[in-house]
Amino acid sequence: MNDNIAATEIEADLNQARRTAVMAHNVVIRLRELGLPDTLDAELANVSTDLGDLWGAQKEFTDHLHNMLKTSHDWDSVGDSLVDMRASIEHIAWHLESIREPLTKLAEYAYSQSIDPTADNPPPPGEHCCAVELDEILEPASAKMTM
Amino acid sequence: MNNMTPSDRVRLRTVRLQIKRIREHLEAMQRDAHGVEYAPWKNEVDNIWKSTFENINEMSESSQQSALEMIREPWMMYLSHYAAIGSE
Repeated sequence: MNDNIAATEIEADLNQARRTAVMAHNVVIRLRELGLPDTLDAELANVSTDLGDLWGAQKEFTDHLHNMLKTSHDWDSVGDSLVDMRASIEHIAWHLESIREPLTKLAEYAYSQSIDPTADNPPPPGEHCCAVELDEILEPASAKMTM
Repeated sequence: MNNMTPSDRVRLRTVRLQIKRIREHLEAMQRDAHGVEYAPWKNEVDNIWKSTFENINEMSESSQQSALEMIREPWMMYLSHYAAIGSE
């Protein structure tokens, strides 16, 4: 039997799942650090998970595209890569729809604070945040960008 | 299984990827069980389950059996641990 057709699970990437969760949590920490009010908690919850998952999904999509271009050696593996990309695109599309409205609300709040003379200056990033953990996630991406 | 149509192969691999994504999202949910992130993660997982069953529903009978067998364990685990939480 062709392994590609077998109805067996594809192993989950739990390390990437944890990195995605850390990214989402850092969005929550940072915006709360900036003083985002509790009244925007629902929007913050959606935006943080959407951004975290979009960050992870773009990496996953890149890997699938790379697989098709570099490692596909027959029509079966081409088919697998195309379905993998389709699934990633649908995942990204779900988050694009989900994030649009709450992201707009948070952006409007940010601009409202920037023109409010009584608003406090925001603290620099990382004072109360799990910055070391975040740096570990971001470093590989930064290194690639500078190559 | 070898006679599976191309359409069913697309659906079956999609289901496999959806189960993978569900397991990854459950990992994120466990990490943020008491955070604001929990509800959106769960909402997405519920949505993926819905789409998974829609994909299986469109398969031929023999492919459906394979797919249902594959999702049995994660689905039962999800029902027992997560389905009631957040729906009260």
